[in-house]
Amino acid sequence: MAAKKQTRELAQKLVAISLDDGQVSAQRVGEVLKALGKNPPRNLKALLGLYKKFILREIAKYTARVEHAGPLTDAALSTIQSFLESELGRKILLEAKPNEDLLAGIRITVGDDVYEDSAEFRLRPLVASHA
Amino acid sequence: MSEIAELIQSEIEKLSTNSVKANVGKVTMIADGVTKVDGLSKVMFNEMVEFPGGVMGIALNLEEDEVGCVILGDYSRIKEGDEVRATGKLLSVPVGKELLGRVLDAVGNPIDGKGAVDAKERYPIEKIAPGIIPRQSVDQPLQTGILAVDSMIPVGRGQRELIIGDRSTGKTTIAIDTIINQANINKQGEATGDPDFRPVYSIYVAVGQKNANVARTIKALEDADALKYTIIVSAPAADNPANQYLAPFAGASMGEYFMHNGMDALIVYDDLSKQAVAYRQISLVLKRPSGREAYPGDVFYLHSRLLERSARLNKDNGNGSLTALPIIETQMGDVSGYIPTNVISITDGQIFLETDLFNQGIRPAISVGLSVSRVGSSAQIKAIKKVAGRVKLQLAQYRELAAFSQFESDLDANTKATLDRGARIVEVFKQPAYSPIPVEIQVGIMWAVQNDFFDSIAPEKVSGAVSSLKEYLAASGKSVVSTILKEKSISDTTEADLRKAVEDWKRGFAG
Repeated sequence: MAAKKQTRELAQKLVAISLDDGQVSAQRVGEVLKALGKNPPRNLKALLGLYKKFILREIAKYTARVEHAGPLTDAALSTIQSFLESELGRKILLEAKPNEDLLAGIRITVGDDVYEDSAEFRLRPLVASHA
Repeated sequence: MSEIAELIQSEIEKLSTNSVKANVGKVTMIADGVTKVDGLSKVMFNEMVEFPGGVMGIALNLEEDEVGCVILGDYSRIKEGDEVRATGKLLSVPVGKELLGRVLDAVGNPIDGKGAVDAKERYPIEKIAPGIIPRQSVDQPLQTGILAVDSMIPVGRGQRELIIGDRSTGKTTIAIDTIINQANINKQGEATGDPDFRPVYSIYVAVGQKNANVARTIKALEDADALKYTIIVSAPAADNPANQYLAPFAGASMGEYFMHNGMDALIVYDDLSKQAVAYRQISLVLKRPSGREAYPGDVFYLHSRLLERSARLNKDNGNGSLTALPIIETQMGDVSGYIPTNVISITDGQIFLETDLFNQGIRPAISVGLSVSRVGSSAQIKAIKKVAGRVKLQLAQYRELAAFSQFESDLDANTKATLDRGARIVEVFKQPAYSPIPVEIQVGIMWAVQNDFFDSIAPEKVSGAVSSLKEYLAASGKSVVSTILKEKSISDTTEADLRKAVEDWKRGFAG
């Protein structure tokens, strides 16, 4: 139990030193991995697993996955980006991806927050009631 | 034409798109109706979460990087990787008079096939109990209709009186008798048209019971025409542990509605041992640290926060009350178990039922020595106090002497008198199930016992004599018992009338 806690704390510290201006820096991650390779701790596999989990969580915090059905203009993306940055108070990167399952509309996922206005979302209660 | 189309189009564009923001997570583990969810970073403790297919759950464990949730419905189709959404709402149940006569599940959905519940209000199931300021001490009686309880272990409105005993000792029967008696009093009170009459509404919470038993209870209440004043919340043994854990809280919210709106309510938790077991199961699957008997550390708080919600409120807060009759099942009569001692220490007294007494045919099988009411005596009406004040002592003395007298053949007159009186009191207190006795008749019976009218009747014939006196007082002694009911005390004139009525009965009683 104590070992798990120590591993978790170490992974969190490694994540903290992997950030540059609030975002994960590939260079720093590389340095962390290099240092771990030189002096590997006993529970390296578990540590790397947690490190990966926390790094992905950090990336998800400032990466907005924009799923859309139909075309999405650059102007619309720029509006979305400025909206999210003002809403969340941090710099946000966008990753646009078409998703025809939405039928129409858009779904934006940042971390574990979802902004959604799609036909699929509106039809979901109807589908559930007829399931 | 195009101008019109543009006008409509501009109106369409003005319409809000109503995008919805939600906090979501992903199921990482599911077992026995409990899930671990990755994400849900903004979820609140006890917040409702939504699983695919509209299945609801509650966030119970907020850990550093995952959330433990219990699922409140069918979890057979939930799988790892499913999305879970926070709803921003706490779990709430419908409340109000519209629920009377209905059978509901742990989250307030009707399960009696009588259609939707037309409730206008909802209460969250977890509420902070009333504090010190809005409370008032218990000073109004809540008659159970059980002679032994009302005379020796009286219950007041707002009290928490535990019913404890082994399996099959009549715990539920005492609770159902009490509910039936409230319904009888309500009907009687409503018939008089007295504007000051305060009916008592009942809530029966069945936790972890067999469906057949719940059906039998419902039938008993229906037969006694008591269901219309009762709400039944059922989380049977086949229900998931989350529902069994939540049902008492849901019932408490329904009872609180009456209390906070200036009415009186009675709630029966049948039983809290099974709720504790369900909570233990949830806690173990959630990997919460376990303590004694593998119960989690907060199992005391589970029951204390539930039972503290029963209270008597003062006039400034509507004068309402919520009386609780929690039930605990013991194993081999052991009251020193973890859960029994917890609940004994929380409640304002207990009615202890003994298997031996039950098997001897003494029903209700109340153990006088171990039963106590800490606050109820101040709620007893004067008439009952006058006639039953010494009964508990007499019965306790009888039990002690009866044990010794088995080895002694020569007994002095005093001991013999105590034994004779005690044997008759035991017989007087025998009462069939589902037949509560109105308080005014109880006064008449106890008065007759204390004034030696039963001394000449053989102990084996006392039960018959009590039934006969009960019928006589209800029919021929109506005026004197109504005076007792009205005045709630026994004046000299009333006592003289009562003596005359009992003498008349005694003359006619064949024995």
